[in-house]
Amino acid sequence: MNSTPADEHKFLELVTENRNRILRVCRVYAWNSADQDDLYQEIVFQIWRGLPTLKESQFANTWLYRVALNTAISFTRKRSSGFARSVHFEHADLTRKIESRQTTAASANAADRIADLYTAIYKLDPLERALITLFLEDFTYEQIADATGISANHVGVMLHRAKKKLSCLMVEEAPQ
Amino acid sequence: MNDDELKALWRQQPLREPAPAAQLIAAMQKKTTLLRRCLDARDRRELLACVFVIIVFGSFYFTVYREPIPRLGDLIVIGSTIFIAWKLVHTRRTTPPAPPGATIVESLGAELNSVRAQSRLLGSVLWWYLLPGFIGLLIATWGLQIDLSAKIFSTLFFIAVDAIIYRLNQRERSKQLLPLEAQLESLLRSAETGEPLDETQVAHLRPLALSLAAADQVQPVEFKVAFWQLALWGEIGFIGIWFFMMLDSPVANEDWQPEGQARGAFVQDVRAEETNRYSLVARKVIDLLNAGDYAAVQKLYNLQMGQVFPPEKASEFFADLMARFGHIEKFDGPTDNGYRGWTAFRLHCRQGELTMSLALDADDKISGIYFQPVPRPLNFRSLVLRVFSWQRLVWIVPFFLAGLLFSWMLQKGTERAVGISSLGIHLHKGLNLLLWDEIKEVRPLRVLNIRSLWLISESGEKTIMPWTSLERHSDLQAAVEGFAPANHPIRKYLSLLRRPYRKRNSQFR
Repeated sequence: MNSTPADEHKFLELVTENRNRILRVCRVYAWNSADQDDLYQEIVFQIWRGLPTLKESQFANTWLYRVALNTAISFTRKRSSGFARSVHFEHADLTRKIESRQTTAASANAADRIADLYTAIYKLDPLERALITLFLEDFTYEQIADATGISANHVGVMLHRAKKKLSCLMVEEAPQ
Repeated sequence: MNDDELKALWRQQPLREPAPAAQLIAAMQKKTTLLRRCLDARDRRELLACVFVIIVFGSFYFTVYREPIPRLGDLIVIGSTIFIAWKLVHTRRTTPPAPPGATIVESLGAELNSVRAQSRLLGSVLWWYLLPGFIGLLIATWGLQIDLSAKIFSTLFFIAVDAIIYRLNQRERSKQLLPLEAQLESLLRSAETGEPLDETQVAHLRPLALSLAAADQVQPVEFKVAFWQLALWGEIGFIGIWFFMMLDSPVANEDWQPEGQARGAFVQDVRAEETNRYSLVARKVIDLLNAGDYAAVQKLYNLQMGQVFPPEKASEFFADLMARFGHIEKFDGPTDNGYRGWTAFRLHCRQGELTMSLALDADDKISGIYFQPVPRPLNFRSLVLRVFSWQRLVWIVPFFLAGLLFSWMLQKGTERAVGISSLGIHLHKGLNLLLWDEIKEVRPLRVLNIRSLWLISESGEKTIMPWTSLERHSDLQAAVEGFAPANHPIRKYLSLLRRPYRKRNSQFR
C-alpha cells in the first residue's frame, strides 16, 4: 500500500478509536503478552492493508471486528498447527499473579474476576470466543451476524450455548 | 453474574498501552515492504528453480544427449519443470485468501479452499510432480549409449529419490493438512448450521493448560548447536568431495600407467604381406591428413564405410582430430593389437600420440578406422602440479560455499531439540512439548555420526529427537538424569553419550 497522509490519518484515527477493542480481542485469542503484542501488530497490519477497501465509514466498526476476529482465529490456528501441543500456564493463576502486583487490594477482587472470565473464555472454541467477544462488546444479534457471516437465528442458538458454557466454566474457575 | 454485570466487567478491565502513532505507521510501512519482498522472493525462488533445471537440461541437450531418444527425454524433463511451476502458481492464484474485511464464515471458507487445494496437490504429487520428470529421465538414461549396469543403477536411484519425496509429501499431508482440513470443515459447519463443534476438533483447537505449580520448573535446559560446529563437519565433507573428485580425474584417464606398458605391444610382429598392404594404406592416410585433404581420405573408404561416414562427416572428424593433435611427424607399426584386433599404427603428432587402428577389405579399401589417444605418462611431480593447477583449485571456492550453505540448511532444517525440563522434552524451539508420560517407548536411530532417538507415544506417533555428538554430552546427561522420571525409557540411552571429559592429571591423583 502506497499511503498518503490522508490514509495515514484515517488509519490512525480508526486504530486509536478502537484501540481497547482490538486489545481485548488480542487478550481473548492470545494468551501471553508476547503473543498479544504479535497479534495486535498483525491485526493493525491487516487493518492497514484492508483500509483502502473500506468504502463507507459508518460500517467501520463491524468491518474492524471482522478483520480483528479473522486475524485472531487464523493466528491461533497458525500458532498451534504443526506442533502436537503448545504449552500455556494456567491463565487465571498467572493473570491474577501479574495483575495483583499492579493493583491495590481494593481492585484485586475485580482483577480476579476478569482473570476468571478470560480463563473461562479461553476454554471455548474459536467460534464461541468470537461470539462471546462480540456479545461483550454490546453487539446485537444482527450486528454479530453481519460481522461473522453466521445467520441471525444461528447466532442466537450458538450464543445461548456459549453463554451457558461460559457461566459453568466461570463457576468452576471462581475461588472456593 | 448477569449479562450487564459481565459487560461492565469486560469494559473496566485494565489494558496495556500500545505503541505511539508515529511508530505504528513506520511499523506498518516496514511490514508492508517486508510482505511484498517475501512474496516476490517466493515467486523468484520458484522461477529460479525452474530456470536452473531448464539451463542444466538445456545444456545436456547439446552436450550429453546427442541421440534423438535421450533428447526426447531431456525435453520431457524441461516440459515437466515448466508444468510444475505453472501448476504451483495456478493453484496459489485460484485459492486466494479472503480479503481483510471478509466475515468469519467467508474467511474460513477461503482458508479451507486453500488447504484443500494444497492437500490435493500433495495427494496427487506422484502424477503431476514426480512421474513426468521420472519418465523423462528414464527415456534419457535408457537412450544413452552407456553400460546396462549404469542404466539400472540410475533407474533405481531415480525410483529411490522419488519414493522418498512421495513419502515425505504424504506424511506432511496426513500430519498437517488433513487434520487442519478437518478442523476448518468442523468450524465452518458449526458456523453454517449453528451446531456445536465435534468434540475431537474442540480438543485440537484448545491449547493444553498446565498448572502454575510446574511453572517454576518448566524452563528447559537448552541445547544449542552453533553454526560453526555444523560448518566444521559440512566443510570437511565438501572439501573432501572436492579433493577426491580432483584426484579422480588424472587417475581415471590412466595417466598412471607406466610408459613401457603402452609402448611394449608394438614390438610384436605381423605377417610380412599384411604389413606391406596396411603400411601402404596407412602412409597414404597420413600423407593426406597432413595435407589437409580429408575428402581424399574418405575416398579410401569402402562402400559401407562411405555410406556411414559421408565426406562432410569424415572431413569434420579429421579436421577436429588434426586440430587437437597437430601435424603427424612419424609413425610406427604395424602391430595386430589395435581396436577389435585390427592392425594398429602409432602416430607421433606434434601435440601427442595416437593409435590408428585399420581394417581393410580384399580390395585394400578401408572397412574400419579408429583413432585412440595414447595416454601420456606422468611422474609424481607432474601429477601434483596437474592436480593443484589453478583450474582445479578454483573449484575449491564453490565447494566451500556449498559446505556453508549445507551447514546453514542443516541448522535451519533440523530444528534441534532445545531442551529438557521436568515436564518433558521441548522440541522445535520449545514450541512442541512431549510430556514424559506421553513417551512410551524410545528407539535409537543412527545415521553415520548423527545419533537420534525416536520418541514413540502410546498411539504410535513418532517424533525424532537429536541425540548427536554435536550437543555437549555432559549437559544432556545432567538434564536427563535431573528431570526424566526414574525408569523412563530414555535413561537407557544415556550409555550412548560420551562420559564427561576428565583431565588426565585428575585420574592420577
